[in-house]
Amino acid sequence: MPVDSSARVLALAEDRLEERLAALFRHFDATWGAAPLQRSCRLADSRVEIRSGLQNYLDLCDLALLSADLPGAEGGRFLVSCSGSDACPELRWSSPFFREREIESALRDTRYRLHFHADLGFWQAYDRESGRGWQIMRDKSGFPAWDPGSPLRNLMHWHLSETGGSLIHAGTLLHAGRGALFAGGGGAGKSGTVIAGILQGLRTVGDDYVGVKPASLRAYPVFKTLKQDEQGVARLGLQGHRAIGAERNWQNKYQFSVDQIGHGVLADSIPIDVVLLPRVTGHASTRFEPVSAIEAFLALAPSGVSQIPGDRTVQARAAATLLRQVPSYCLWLGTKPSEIVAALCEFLENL
Amino acid sequence: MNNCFKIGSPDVVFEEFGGEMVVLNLASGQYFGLNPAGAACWHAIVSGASIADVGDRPDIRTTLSVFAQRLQELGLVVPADGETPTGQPTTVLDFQGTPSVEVFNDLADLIVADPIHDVDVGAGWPVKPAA
Repeated sequence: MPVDSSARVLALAEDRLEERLAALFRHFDATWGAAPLQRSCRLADSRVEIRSGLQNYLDLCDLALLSADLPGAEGGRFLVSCSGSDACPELRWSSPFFREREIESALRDTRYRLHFHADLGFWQAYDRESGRGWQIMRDKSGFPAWDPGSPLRNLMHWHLSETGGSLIHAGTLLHAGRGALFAGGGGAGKSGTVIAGILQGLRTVGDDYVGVKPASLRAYPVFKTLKQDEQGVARLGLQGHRAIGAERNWQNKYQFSVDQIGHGVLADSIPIDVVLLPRVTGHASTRFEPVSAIEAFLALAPSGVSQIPGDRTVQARAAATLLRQVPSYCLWLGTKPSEIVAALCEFLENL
Repeated sequence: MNNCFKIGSPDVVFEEFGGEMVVLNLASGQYFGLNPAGAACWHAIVSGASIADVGDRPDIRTTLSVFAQRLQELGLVVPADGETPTGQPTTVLDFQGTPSVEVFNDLADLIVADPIHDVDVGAGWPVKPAA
């Protein structure tokens, strides 16, 4: 057995990985029980309980995750630990390489999921049968630069996928009872459109990453984070807003939350009636043009499958399942946020 | 088609939309567009169908064999000699037109995100190559 009980070192490797992950999770409950801090947060239509001894990481979670008000609901249990501290084993990868895709493939039919960011010594492991997820870091600040915007992202996706859902890389808005997903890469105008809508009172279940359940065509909030660069902040009239702090994130963007710019706009869920692919045009008027499901798939799926490793086929399948059921349009953006939102509202009312 | 084929790797995922098909190769970052005839052939090929499974028409058999070779060249399928087909073999294959596959590279930077590509060739992981 690859556990050195005296040194509490656990070596994971490609060889017998499932067995080694089982060994890791034998330490979970003791570490869970010893963790002094806890949070309860919402994940789509369920909740997860988070425990840790790391106040700084839970502070980060407080900013990005939604507090759960679903007491008693049985959900996932996510634990955040430092490698080798307290009851958490010191984890090592003992194969020559961590081959993300090979690991994903090897674990596909097992109860476990695993992601490892080698440069940082950042691990995320998930046990599908028990709903237990474990994030293990080299030290209390050993998380990727993008993590504060969507903490525990892989664990969230893996847990959601157990109930037919998926995290998806998209923004959302709701108007007149109709919900839109906004898909596209960086700079497409996705987040700017979502924030413009929120500022004018439209409801949302989030931007960047949202939970979706393709079978019911509904989207759910997972993170409340919004991001915007300096030009976007100016375009949206957010300069001087109390939500815009002095610090910027790793992308040189301001990071804030939905509830800081729109009181009560975060919905519990919204229907998915249309997928929109924003494009910045420089033209005055916003217009909509139907596009094929294939074009929408290529806008929606690739960034998600690259940014949430360990279960990529699930995400591709979720995107495709959605896009076979709802129409897709290119959203040629005008230059004024108020005009864009007015055009979007009219479009949704007439959909 | 003298050999049976299977999907080339777990990195190859595919989805069909209204008869047309998109195939993503998550390892290379390429994606591929198959027309309806190509999609019909794809289903037959990845189901593990052999030449005997797809009917008696020589033109269909020839077309399928050529198309399978093209998909193999693109790294999307590999021979599955000696393996039991995992899907439902196509009994009679018929389609209109010529199967085609278009290759696209414009999403490669977005799709490929694997640290293994960022290591020094000589030293290996976790040493990054010199800038």
